[in-house]
Amino acid sequence: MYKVFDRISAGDNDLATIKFVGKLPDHIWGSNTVALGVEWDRPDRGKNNGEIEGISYFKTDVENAGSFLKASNKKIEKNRFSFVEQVLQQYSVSSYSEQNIHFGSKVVQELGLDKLTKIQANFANLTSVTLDHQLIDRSGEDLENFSQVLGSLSNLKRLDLGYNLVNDLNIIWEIIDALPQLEWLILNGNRFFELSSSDSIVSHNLQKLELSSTNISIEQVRQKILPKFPHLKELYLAGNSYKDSDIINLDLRGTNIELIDLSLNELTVVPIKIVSAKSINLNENHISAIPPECNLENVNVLDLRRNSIDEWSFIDQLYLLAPNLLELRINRNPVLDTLSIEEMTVQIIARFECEDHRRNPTKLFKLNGSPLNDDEITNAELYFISKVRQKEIIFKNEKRWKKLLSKHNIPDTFIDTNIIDTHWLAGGKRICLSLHFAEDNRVSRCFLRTYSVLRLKGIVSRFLGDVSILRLNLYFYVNEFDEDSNTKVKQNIDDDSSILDNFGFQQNQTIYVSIE
Amino acid sequence: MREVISINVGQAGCQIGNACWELYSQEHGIRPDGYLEEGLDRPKGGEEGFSTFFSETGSGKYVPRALYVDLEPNVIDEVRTGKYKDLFHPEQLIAGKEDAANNYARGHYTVGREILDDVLDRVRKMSDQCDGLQGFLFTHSLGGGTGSGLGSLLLEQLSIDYGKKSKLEFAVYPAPQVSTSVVEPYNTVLTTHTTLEHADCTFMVDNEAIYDMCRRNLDIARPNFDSLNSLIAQVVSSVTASLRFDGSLNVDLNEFQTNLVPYPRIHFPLVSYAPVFSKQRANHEANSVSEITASCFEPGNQMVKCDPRTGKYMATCLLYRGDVVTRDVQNSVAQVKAKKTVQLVDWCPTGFKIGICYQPPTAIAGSDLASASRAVCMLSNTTAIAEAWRRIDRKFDLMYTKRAFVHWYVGEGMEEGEFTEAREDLAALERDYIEVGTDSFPEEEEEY
Repeated sequence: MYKVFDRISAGDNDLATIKFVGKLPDHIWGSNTVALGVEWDRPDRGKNNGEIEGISYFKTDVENAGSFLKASNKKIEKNRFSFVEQVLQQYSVSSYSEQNIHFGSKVVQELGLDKLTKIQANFANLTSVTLDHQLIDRSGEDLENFSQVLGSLSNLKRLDLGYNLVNDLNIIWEIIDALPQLEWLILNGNRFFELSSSDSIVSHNLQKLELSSTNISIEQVRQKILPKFPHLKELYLAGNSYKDSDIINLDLRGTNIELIDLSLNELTVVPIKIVSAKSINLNENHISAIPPECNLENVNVLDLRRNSIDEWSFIDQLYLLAPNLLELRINRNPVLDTLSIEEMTVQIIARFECEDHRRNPTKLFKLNGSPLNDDEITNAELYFISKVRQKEIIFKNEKRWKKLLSKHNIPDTFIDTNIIDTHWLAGGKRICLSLHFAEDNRVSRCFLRTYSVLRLKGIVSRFLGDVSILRLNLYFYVNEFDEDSNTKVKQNIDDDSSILDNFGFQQNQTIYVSIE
Repeated sequence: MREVISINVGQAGCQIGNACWELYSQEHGIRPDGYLEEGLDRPKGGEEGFSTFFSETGSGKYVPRALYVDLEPNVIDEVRTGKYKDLFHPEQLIAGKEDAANNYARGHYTVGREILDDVLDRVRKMSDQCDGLQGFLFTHSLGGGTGSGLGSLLLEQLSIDYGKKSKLEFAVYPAPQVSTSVVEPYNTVLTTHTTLEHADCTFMVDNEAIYDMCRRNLDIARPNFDSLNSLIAQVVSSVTASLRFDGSLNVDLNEFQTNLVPYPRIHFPLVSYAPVFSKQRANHEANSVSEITASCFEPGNQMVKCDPRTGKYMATCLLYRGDVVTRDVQNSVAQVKAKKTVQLVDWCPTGFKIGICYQPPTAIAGSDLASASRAVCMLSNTTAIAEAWRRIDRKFDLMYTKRAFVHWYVGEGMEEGEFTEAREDLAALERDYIEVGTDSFPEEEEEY
C-alpha cells in the first residue's frame, strides 16, 4: 500500500516521508508486521538515523529525524484527497447551516456566513484559495470534473497548498497549468522528489512562489522552477537547510526575480550569484563574511538579522558594496549585541549614508524597521564623529569619514589631545597650561580661553580624584617667563566666574595647585 | 446612504488619520490624488459602502469625509505637503497657531475654544453634504493637550448639535515608552470624565501594547510613531471594514455597537487583531483560521494591556476578513469554546457574534506588516479592561496627592474641583466594571 517517497501525516499534523517499506527482524514486531521507515519533517519528532540494532534500513537527510512505525499504526492518517475533492469540499458547501455553538447559556450568532457560502459556491468569485494541511496528495486529473472545476476557477490569483502530501512537482504542474491567471503559489512544507520526468516545460505566468520548508534541492529549482516561470518576481526558499555549496549553484542573473528569501538556512557568506535581486532576505543564517567581489549595486532591501556578523568591518564593507541600499535590517548580530539599541542605531546610521524617509529617498532610510528622519541622522552623525575623534570608536572607512566631515563642515584635521598642536593655537582660541600638583606631578592640558575658572577647577578636581573644588587653591606667577626678575609675583586665581583670558596667561604657563 | 464623518484631533489623531486614509484609499483603489486607479471604473468594495467614507465630486474625484483639527500647524502642514495632499480639500484641514502644550485646560477652555466655531462650521458643511449621516468617528489621544481637551470639547458640542447621531472614538491610551509629557494621566482622566456620557463607543489603543507588538511580532528594534500608527491604522481599518464594504456580507457597526455596549458607561470594547507578523517572516508563519482566532484571545494580540482571563466577557464580536470558509470559522469558534478560557457573564442572553467581510486586508507599501490573505479583528467588552483605568488612576493619584502640575491647569481658568470630580467619576467607572462582572444569580449553596 505504501511506497517509498510517499508522504504521510500522523498525529498532530506531523508530516513525514516514507523512506523504507518492509520487514524488521522477527523479534521486534513479529513476522507479519509491515514496518515503515520514515523521516519526519520536524527532526525532533525522530528517534534515529534509520538504524535498528546496528543495521541500517534507510538513510535520513537530517540527523536523527528517522523512526519506524507499524504500517497499521492508527496515528497515520488514512484519508488522502485530490486537489479537486478538497476545493469542492471546502469552498462549495451546498447549503449553509448555523452551528449553534453554545457558550454557557449563549448561542453564537453567525452573521454573513450564509452569504459567504453562496458567494464562494460560485468559483468564478474566488480570487484566493487556501488549502493548507488538507492531506492532498494528487491533483485529481483522472476525475471527470477535473477540467470543469479548474476551468471555473478562472479568476484565481492566489493558491495555498502548504503542508500537504504532494511529493512530486509534476502533480502541482497539473493543477496550475489549468489555472493560467494564477499569480501567487504557496507550496511551503511539502517535499518534492524527482519521481517522474517531465518531458516538456509549459511556461506559466506565476509571479510569486513560496517553497519554504520544502528542502527542495537547488538542482530542482534550477532545472524545473526557474525555466517554468520566466516571469517570476518573488521566490521564497526559507528554511531549506541550504549550505554555501548549494547556493553557489543558484544563479539569478538573467531572471526577473526581484525578491529572494533565503532566511533560516545555513549560509555563512553572502551568496554572490543572487545579488541581481532588489530585495534579499538572509535573516537567521550564520553569515559572518561578505566577499569583496559581491556586487550589491542592485540591492535595495537587505535583511541580515540574526546572523553571525562579529566585526564592524562587515558593516563598513557593506556600505561600500551596496551603494543603493534603502532598507536594512541587521539587528541581533554578535557585533551589535553588546550595544544598547540606541547606540547600535547611532553607529549604523553614521556608517551608512542615510536620508529622511519623507523625501523620496535614494539612500538608506529605514533601519531595523524604523523609518529615519533628518534630526536623528544629524544627531547620530555628530555623535559618531565625536566618538571617533575621542578614539572610543575605531573607524577605518576613509571614504565615509571624509563625507561625514564635509557634510558637517568639520575640518579634516587629526587631533591628538595629548600632543600640543600649534596649528590650533594660531587661532588664538586655546591656551595650553601646565598644571603643577607637586614637584614630580605636572600635567599639560589645553583649554579654551573662554573657559571659566570654575570649569578649570572642575577639571583639576577630576585630576585629583574628585577633590571638592572649594578646597582647591590655584595660583600662578605673573613673571614666570621673565628671566631677569628675582622676585616672583604670585597671583591667586580665585574669581570663579571670570574667564581664563582675563588673567593674561602665556602659552605653557604653570598653574600651581594646592589643596587646603 | 449611511455616511460617517471622521474627525481627527491633535497630533496623534492626525497622524493616525493619515495612516488610516492612506490604507482606506488603497483598499478602495483610490490614487493619492483622489482619482480612481487605472483600470477601475468604480471604487473597489461596492459603491454603497464606499460612500460612507468618501464623497464624489463632479469631476470624478473622491474626497474623504474627514476633518483634521490641530491647535498647532506642524502636523497639518505635513498633510498639506505630504503624498496625499491632493486627496483633501484645504477646508478639511484646520490648524491653529498656538498649541495646547500638553495641557487639557488649554485644549478645552482657552486655546481650543477659539477654534471651536470654525470646526463646528466645517462639520456642519460636511454634514450638509450627507444624505443620511450615520455618525462620527473620532480619532484622538487621551494624553496630549489637543487630543484630550479639544477632542472632548468637540464631542460635547456634537452631542448638543447632532443629538442622537452615534459617536465612536478611537482613543490612544498613553504609554511610558513613547510618552511626551508627565501630565498624561491628568489629561486622560479629565477627558475620559468629560466624554464618558457623550461617546457611544470608545475603542482604546494602548501605545504600550502596540509598542510591544512592534518589538515582538514585527521585530522593529526601535518602534517610532510611524511604526505604531501603521499598525493602529490596520486595526482601525478592520473595525471599519464592515461599514466601508458592502455586498451585504458585512455587518453594520451599529449592530455591533448595540451588541457591545450593555450600559452607556461600559462602552470600552477591547480590540484584538491577528495576524501581526512582519513581511520577512510571513511565508513561514502559520496563518490558519483557527490559529488567528486563538491568538485573538491571547494578551499579546490585544490593543490594550490587560489580562482578559481575569475578567469576564459581556459581549464578543469576531470580524473575519478575506479568504475564510464557513466551516473553518465554525470549527475555530468551537475550539475557542473547548479551551474554556472564555468566561461570559451570565446576565446577558446573547453575546457572541461572528461577521465576515470578503475583502482581504491590504498592507501599505513600505509597511512592515505582512499582507495576509485573511485576518480577524475581535471586539469584546470585557471587564478586564478596567485594569487600564486602574493603572491610569494610580498614576493620577501619585501626582494629585501632592497637587503637582495642577497650577498649569488652574492658570488656564480651570477649577481644581474638576480634578476631584473627574477622579471620582473614574473611581465610579472602576466600580461599575466590578459590578457588571459579578454574577446576578448567586451560586446555589451546597448544604441545607
